[in-house]
Amino acid sequence: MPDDVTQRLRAAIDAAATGLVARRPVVELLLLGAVARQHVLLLGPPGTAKSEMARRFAAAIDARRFEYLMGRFTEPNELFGPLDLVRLREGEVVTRTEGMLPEAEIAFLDEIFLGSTAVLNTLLGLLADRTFLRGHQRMRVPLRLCVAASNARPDRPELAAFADRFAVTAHVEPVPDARLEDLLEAATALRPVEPVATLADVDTLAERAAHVDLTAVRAPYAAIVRALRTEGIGLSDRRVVQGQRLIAAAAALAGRTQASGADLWPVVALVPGAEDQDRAREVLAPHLAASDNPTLPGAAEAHSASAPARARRILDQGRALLAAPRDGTDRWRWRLEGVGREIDAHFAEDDRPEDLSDLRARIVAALA
Amino acid sequence: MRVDWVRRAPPLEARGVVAVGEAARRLRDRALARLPGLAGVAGDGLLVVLAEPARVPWVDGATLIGPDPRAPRLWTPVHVRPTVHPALVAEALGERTLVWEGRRIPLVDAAPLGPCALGAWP
Repeated sequence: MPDDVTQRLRAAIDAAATGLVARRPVVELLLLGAVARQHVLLLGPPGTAKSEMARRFAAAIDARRFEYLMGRFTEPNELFGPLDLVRLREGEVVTRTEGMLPEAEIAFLDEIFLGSTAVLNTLLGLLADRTFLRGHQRMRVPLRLCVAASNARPDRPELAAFADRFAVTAHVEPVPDARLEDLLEAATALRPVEPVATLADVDTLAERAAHVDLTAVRAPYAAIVRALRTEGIGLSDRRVVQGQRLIAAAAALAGRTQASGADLWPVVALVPGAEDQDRAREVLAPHLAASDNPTLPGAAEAHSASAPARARRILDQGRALLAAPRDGTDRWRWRLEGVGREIDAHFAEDDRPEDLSDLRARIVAALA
Repeated sequence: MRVDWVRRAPPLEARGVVAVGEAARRLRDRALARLPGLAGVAGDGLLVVLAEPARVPWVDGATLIGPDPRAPRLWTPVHVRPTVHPALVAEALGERTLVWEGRRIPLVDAAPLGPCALGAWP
């Protein structure tokens, strides 16, 4: 049974993802990043709810948020704050950071790769060391998670090192055709998010993650990295180490004190390119077959296509639909049929977990 | 050529559904509610409905089907595959065919389903 902290964080994901279509796995990755103290890069075309996800996630955990759309001419003071002119007259270069990025607990930076060298250099220290350095000013920042967004990965080599600071990459595509009606319906029902968890809850899980025993997964994880290299999908040493923190965070969010084969799926999110992530998922299927996470079911399934993760996601989805008020519309039947179809499509009758068979029986009864 | 059928993993992508008897009648009712965008064939007590994956109707008692990616003319239940190369089976069958529970159901004449034809079946 999950404890209160984990329950609240699950509720935070529910709250943040409600009203967004096909975005829950990405919201789950934001929580994973926050707990692992690793930053997240969202890549995708404009208008795919990248900023909305970050906004809603920050609200759900009651975090102080800073958000900015960067451009080629963005000045450092637009992110970090203006110089304190009074102190400047006294000969000191001090930045006034009130309400600016150095004081944010969650940051969202759109079009991040458009930033100038001056901006990105200061940002690098802030992201890597949680330290704001400007002139002689040095301060620890409360940043738990930076979510950056861009249409595409940078092709300039000098930006590649900066991009490598974002351990998790999520590719966000427009809502698929089959879910357009859901998008239109959700858009009219989107409500502001009230806090249901706290930053202290995230910190508690981060502390647990720091103490997760990784002994049992080191060899399998190294085998995974080798398998990726054999496929021509290289991960920097930095990424490989970051991956360990993501695995520990996944274990902590699943309520485990020892990481297991069920927690290796975040390695797919370490792979930067979309096509490489697809290949990684395919190549690593045998390594990730046991993937499962009760707090991050969508992300676990999306990154592993494992049967346990899929079963859990279908169970959560089906139970939520059956528990929701029956509006008597065909949309409700359509959604329920969709769950039934997913069960039959992915699980042969004699291979089906018992709880999935129970859910199927309840769906048949509800549709009768 | 002897062909046996074994479990397929991972399953095929479901792009259709087949049913007989009472399940087929329920399938017809759901298909009527899902028009347009469906194609199919119907026979004596049997109904096959083909659709894009997200639009495949679902009823209890029906079997999800899909084309074999290595021989797209061969359609089977999503959890089943032949023990010989599917291209050999497809070649032996000739036209686009669903092989299900010992039956060979030609799909080459699958046509868009309309409310009149579907409503009049069986």
